[in-house]
Amino acid sequence: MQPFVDFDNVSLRYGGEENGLLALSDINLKVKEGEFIAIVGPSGCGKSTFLKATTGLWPVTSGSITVNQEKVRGPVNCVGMAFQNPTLLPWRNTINNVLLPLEVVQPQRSMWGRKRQDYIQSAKDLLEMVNLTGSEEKFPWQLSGGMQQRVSICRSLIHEPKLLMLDEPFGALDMFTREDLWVALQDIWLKKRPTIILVTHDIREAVYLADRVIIMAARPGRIVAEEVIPFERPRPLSLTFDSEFGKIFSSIREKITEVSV
Amino acid sequence: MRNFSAILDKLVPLFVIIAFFIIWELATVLFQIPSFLLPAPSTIFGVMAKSFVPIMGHAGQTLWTTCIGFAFAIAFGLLGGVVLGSSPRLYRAFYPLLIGFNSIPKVAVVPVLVIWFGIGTIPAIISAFLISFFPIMVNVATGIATLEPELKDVLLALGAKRRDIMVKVGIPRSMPYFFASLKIAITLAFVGAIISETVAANSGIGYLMVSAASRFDVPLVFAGLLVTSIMGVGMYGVAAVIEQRTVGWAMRSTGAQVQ
Ligand SMILES: Nc1ncnc2c1ncn2[C@@H]1O[C@H](COP(=O)(O)OP(=O)(O)OP(=O)(O)O)[C@@H](O)[C@H]1O
Ligand SMILES: [Mg+2]
Repeated sequence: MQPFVDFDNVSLRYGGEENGLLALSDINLKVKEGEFIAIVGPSGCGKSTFLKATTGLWPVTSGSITVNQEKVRGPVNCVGMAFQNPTLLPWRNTINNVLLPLEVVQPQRSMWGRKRQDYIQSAKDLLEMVNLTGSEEKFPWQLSGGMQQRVSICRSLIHEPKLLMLDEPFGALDMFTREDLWVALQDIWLKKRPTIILVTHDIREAVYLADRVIIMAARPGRIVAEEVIPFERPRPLSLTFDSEFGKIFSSIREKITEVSV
Repeated sequence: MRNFSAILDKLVPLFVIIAFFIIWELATVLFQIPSFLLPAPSTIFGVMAKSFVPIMGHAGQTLWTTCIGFAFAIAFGLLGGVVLGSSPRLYRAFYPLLIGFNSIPKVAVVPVLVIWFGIGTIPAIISAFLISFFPIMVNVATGIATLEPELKDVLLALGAKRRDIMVKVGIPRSMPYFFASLKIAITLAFVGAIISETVAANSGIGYLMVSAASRFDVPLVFAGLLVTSIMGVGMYGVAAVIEQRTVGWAMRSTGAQVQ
């Protein structure tokens, strides 16, 4: 089977061809359709750049990227994205913030008039999965930071994207909220099976959620190792206290420490 | 108790204005300032009552020229702001020219306008437009240009076109900037219209003040000034109320929370 995301010798340089900063160097990576990948690595190693390259938001300097059998040339379509800060629209309430992608992507956009009620229902279902029932009519300024972040995650999922890119989406949350959202995200992934690429600083998060953890190093940004996570799904939260989990955690941690110095 | 202090908060500005006039009145009495230098408020109000009809006629003229110039400033300011804000390159390209243009004292332009359009209403409308157009345009452009890059990425990755981003996010986002600029621009528009009237007109508050000054009718000059500031405060108030109604979300999401 063809990989869903395919990085073939990709390098990306910010600034000039020669003396610019080499943010990605010779990246080779294949991601299967429906796979859940996590990328970890020290700050500044090019994780966000990796996402920008995948979605075609920044052109690569050499090599090629294929997403869903198509070579990436400009911004790709229909990808869901969420970042560390929620970036909600302050003039829209929760429901309308979640619905935003459906006003933009095809084919949902052209069915907006007819299917509106269905869309609102699926937005409500998503909000329920992240425990936000009752906040549909509230505006961002009436929500806590963690609640806003959950809305932002729902927004990235509403159009059922085949590819979901998450750049430290849980980074600013407290531990309990974060763990709740891990479980919610795993549920959603099991149900809809999108391909997910999750960038994170949190090794526990990566090991708990991903099928495969990619470890990157900085200067130049490159992939140094990968770890396949064998645990069965659905994974219970208690798995994070398991000794096997601990071993994988430590091994990844060691590899990051090695490349950080 | 809280209610009382809320009411007090609303009334304080009024007290300040009343106190200002009382101190002014007392000062003119106390220091025996002659009314051809600084007329007392009571004298000014007296003049306003006596010449109510002609003053209102001139005020009406100024008000409508200002409003027409201002309406043009809004239309072109919005349009220019959207165009400049949508492209950083255009923004950078035009900015120096616009700054240079905006630095020209508008009073120096009025004689040229008179040569082009003759004496009267048209130069006043154009001055009001010229002076109030710039802040509106720059504010709208800034509101659009300062869009969070992540939000833009989210939309681009969904396959949004430039136009979608503009309509869904850019323009709504620039509205608080737009309304904030309206409050500044409306007072500037008054200044523009009145400057033009003082130089080249046969009616309007500006004309009224210059002709009164040439007759040394200083109380009437002050009456003109007072009417001007009342109109200014009134228009500012209208702009502020519209702002509150339409983009209250901007104030709530940054400032103190209502409710
Ligand atoms: N637009 C840009 N122009 C120039 N250099 C950039 C740009 N964006 C990122 N960089 C540089 O590229 C390198 C990788 O940045 P990137 O944002 O991908 O790191 P990251 O792994 O996401 O870091 P963090 O974990 O702190 O978010 C950094 O050295 C950064 O300074
Ligand atoms: Mg990053």
